[in-house]
Amino acid sequence: MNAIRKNVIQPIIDLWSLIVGLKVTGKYFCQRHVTVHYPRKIIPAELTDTFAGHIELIPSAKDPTIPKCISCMMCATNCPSNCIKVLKQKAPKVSPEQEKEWAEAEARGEKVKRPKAPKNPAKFSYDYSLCSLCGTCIENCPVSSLRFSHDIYIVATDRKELTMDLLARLARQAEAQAGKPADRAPGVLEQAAEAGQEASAKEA
Amino acid sequence: MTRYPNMEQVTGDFYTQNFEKGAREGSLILNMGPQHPSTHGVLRIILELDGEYILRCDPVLGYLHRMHEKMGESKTYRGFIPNMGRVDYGCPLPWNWAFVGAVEKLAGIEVPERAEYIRVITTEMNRITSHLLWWGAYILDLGAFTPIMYAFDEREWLLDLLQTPTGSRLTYSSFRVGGVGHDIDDKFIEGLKAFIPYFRSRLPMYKDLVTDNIILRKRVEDIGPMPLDMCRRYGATGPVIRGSGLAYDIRRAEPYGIYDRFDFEIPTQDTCCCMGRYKVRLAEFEQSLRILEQAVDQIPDGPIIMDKAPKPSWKPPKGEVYFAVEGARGKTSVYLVSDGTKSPYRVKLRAPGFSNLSLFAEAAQGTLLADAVAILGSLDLIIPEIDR
Amino acid sequence: MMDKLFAGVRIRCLEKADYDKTGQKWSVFLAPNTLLKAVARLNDDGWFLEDVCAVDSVEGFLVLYHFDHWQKSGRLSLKVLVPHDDPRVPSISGMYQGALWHERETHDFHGIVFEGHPNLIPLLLPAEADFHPLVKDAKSRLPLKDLMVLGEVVSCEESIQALFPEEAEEAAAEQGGEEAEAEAES
Ligand code: SF4
Ligand code: SF4
Repeated sequence: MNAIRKNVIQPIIDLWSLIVGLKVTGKYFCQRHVTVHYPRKIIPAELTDTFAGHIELIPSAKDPTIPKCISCMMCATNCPSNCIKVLKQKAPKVSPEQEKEWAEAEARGEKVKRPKAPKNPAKFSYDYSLCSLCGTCIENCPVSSLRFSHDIYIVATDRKELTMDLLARLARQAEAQAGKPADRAPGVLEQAAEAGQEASAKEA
Repeated sequence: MTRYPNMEQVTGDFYTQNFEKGAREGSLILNMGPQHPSTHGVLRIILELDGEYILRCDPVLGYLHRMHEKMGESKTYRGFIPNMGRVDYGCPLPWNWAFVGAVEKLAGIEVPERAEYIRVITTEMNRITSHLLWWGAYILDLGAFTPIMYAFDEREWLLDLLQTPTGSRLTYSSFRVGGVGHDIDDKFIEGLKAFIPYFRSRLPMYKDLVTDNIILRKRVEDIGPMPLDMCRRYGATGPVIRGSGLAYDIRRAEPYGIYDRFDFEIPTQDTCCCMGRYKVRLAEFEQSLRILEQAVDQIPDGPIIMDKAPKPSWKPPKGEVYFAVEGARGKTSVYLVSDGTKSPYRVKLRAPGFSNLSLFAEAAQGTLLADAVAILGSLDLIIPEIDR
Repeated sequence: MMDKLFAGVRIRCLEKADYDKTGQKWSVFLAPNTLLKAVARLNDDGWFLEDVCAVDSVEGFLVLYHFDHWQKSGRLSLKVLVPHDDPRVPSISGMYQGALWHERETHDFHGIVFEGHPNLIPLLLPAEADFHPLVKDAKSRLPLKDLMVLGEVVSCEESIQALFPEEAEEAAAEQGGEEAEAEAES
């Protein structure tokens, strides 16, 4: 009896387990497929909207090409990976005559309003290759001028391309938005092309 | 031997030479890895073989060593959290929790309710994604390709959901000292509520497709016995020890966060073999789903981070602290010594995989080479965590 | 319970740690030569090893062994202080094979020599590495009293007590100071 069980019944049960498995495979073979064939198809935008990609600047309410940023350097000093570089704007040049006039006015005891440097940054460069996407910069920005972008398609063939000029990016976004209001930020390919042009222009 | 004209080229490196010293006459020394698919990337194992049988083996680590502990000594407490996402890419949220938990314990910080729930929800989801990854990869190690596709179907769904509270798909570092970094919304809750029954309905399919499959069973049943005493001597934890019949889970043994509020079981198997560990992990899917269900029902509204949460330049009080959580692979803990400055004085990361893998050399002794692959996979190794 | 466990082992200092603050229930200072005896007791009592690590301080390397128990809840840390110029402790890998790797790692990071270890070669660092990355330079080393406090002391030798001068008062004063500071900051 035991021999029959071992040599006949058990192998049949065992074989049956394979058939059960094949049935599962067969069933899923006939169903719609679940993978997305990039780049012929891309995933819906709602899935990329929660993705936290590289950081980007948020435009101010007045001018879409100027960020809210006040060049306070909080982000640059707190970044654990040192990937942000902010350059403050210099105060506008004053001619010597003007300077003299003010000095005289001050000597007379009048109040002089010297022009201050604009608050928005002159340069805002960011190295994505170092960024750990920790969000420290975003959490510590006093005027909420930073956010994560939703760009999941960013590609680069060179490490240098990952150093981005966020002000230029903001300007590009503003331009794109002005051009076609209903559209999202410039497409991946256009951006890549632009970045490539920039890089080659720099080298030349 | 004289067949090799240039002997210097075939003498092997330091580790091989060191290993060869104890070799028996006529045995074969074989390097498996560091680029062997079944050693998951960058683990190398030196084997001494007699035919197909393993006489002795010695894992060689360090190919992915990044010295996180040294980095911890030069970074601020806030700046070290991203590192926790990179220690174990498969299940980073327990690592997040271990580190912020240690800091919170040290400084006596209370975490808001909602943040606690978000931590539980995301960690349990992460446990499921980690086990799914293991499940697919383990079957792949054993030679079956399709199951990983099924596993990734669910895993991708979960990753899409997890993107809301963490922002990323792999190296999560969304916990903050005093709370969490991002809130969850109704859409997330809805998505999760839809996922739970769906995943439940898929579990029988897993059983039909893989667990009952006779080929798999012949490969893993009674292979790689790890009796409890052996687990104790090596300090193994997690599914490894639960697969050896001991219901030891940090969530119960040393409750942290709000885990004492949830009703769940600790699945165990007392066969001590690879199948035991396999079944424990599959049973943990169900338990994680149960915790998730309760957590989504109970989650209160409120803040997600404490008032006046620590700034990057924050300084905790002096002292030492040890904090352990249950990761997907076992006891994940952080030992922290603070000298009261902006960055830790010493951070020690206790990786569960490290202890689990150290058991491998003994468990694999005397087995067939193919079985050693089954044992190795059943430990659920994530090499970056072991090398740190 | 600890007194019974370690009866007959010469302990330099036994203290009940504050679990809510440090995550440890007991902490035991030992001399290197009594370590094996104490570990043997733990082994018989069914404790398991969590990890081995070291902390660099002014007084020397503090080698830490964290143990936990499956049934009894509680973490126990054995602490062995060894001098910088001759950091030697006996290896516990005979009883706890899990320590084999932890000790190799500690040897890598701090250069501590575990006597009797069967294979004390680099584990995580490359074989040619001739440095110990976690050894601090003399300037950044801190005394132990700045790093940890003694909890509720059960028994303690003079020499260990001396490392933590007036710990209770000082700690209280410090904490008060810090709270005030925190308030001032906010
Ligand atoms: S996300 Fe973190 S690493 Fe990246 S730029 Fe901001 S602060 Fe730096
Ligand atoms: S923290 Fe904000 S405001 Fe300050 S420099 Fe950075 S982006 Fe600008």
